[in-house]
Amino acid sequence: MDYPVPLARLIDELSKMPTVGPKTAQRMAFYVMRLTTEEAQSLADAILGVKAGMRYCSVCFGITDTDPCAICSNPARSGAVLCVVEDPRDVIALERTREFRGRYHVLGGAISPLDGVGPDDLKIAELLSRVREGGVTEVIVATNPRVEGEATAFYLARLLKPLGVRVTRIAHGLPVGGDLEYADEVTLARALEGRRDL
Amino acid sequence: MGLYKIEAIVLRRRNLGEADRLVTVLSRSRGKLVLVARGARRPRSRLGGRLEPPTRFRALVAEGRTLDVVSQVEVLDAHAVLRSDLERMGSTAVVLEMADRALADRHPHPDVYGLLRDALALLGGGHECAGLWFAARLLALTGHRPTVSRCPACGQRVRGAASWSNVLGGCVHATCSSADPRAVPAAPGAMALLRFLLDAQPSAVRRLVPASSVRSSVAGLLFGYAEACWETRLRSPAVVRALSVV
Repeated sequence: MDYPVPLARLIDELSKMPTVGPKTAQRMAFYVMRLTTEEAQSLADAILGVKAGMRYCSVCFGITDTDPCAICSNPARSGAVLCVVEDPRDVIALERTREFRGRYHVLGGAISPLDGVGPDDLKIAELLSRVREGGVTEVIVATNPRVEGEATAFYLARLLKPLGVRVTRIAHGLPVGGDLEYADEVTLARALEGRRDL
Repeated sequence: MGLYKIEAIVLRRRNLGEADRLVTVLSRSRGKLVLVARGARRPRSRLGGRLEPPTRFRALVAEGRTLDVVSQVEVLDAHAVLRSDLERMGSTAVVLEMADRALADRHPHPDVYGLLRDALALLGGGHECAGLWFAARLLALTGHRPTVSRCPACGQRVRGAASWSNVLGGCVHATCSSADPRAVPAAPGAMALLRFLLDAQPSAVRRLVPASSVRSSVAGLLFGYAEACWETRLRSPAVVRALSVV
């Protein structure tokens, strides 16, 4: 027997979400069915609220509910240091450290020849415009330490250095709490390269 | 469900679920495989750094119901030098994509494995023609060797001005090119380099230093021919061209 149409529609919509298969979608749909009307309305409002209220910051291209975002419009944040990341979620991860007081620039991905993603598919022209406008003295390239992230970092360094700014790369090495014994060879080599005086 | 050991080179990888990766590898004994690396995206994973393209590794693989799962990876060559500058990264990406597109899953091809290993070593040594040599040899080894000496339209030896036809399978007389309206002119220098690359040994490729115009001409012919043979579109050459504009 097929599900009644409203329930089947909900299962169909939920199963479009990432990592949600048909079984999980069914469980979620039955959970929604058991909610009170107010709880279901609250869930629906939250989904619509995200669509209506969230956008990309016109300056840094991070996700925000105000434009420019809270970081770009905060006078206490230094505009002299820009941290370049691949994804808006990377901004959240770096903000959790409470160590960085500069501003961000979200590229929206990384250069990946194998996937056909080139420089024109990323917010690189916008980054260059921000640097050319002046006031930026250092660009920290915090793309992921993968082949794609490294290629993007090399490409950005080649574009940015002629503009007279300092271009730095985040350090690579062992995770805090990790064991040397279990570290892979490439990470260990990077950790040795990036050693510092005590 | 059993276990087996492989020696392989990572061709590409993509994310799977929350923290896993799907890794496409070319193994010496089992051909191209798609393996699951569980938890490879977690910062403390022992697999993540070991399964980056184009690492050559030895591993223990567990057979799964749909996909096999990789574990206990030992790096044989991380090819760190290939990740040290943009040009080498670009050439490596083209080589890896061609290997991926040329081969079907689970068809052992030890010659192609050896070719890829040699090509990566040449790229690491900074030899400019390594990528072109790999492309030419790969086409030959997978049964798509282009004709470069005799015109496939009339059967006569090709000398002097010639055209290149992907449909006819290589170099044709300029006068025979009407058989393929999409045939393009091919410079004699490019034809000579292509003839050499199709049968060259790695040691000969090390000594090769062609003009950049000849190199780019051969690259255009080989990539176009490969796309026609494999009925696919190579993504990396266009991105690499865009990167080299800077």
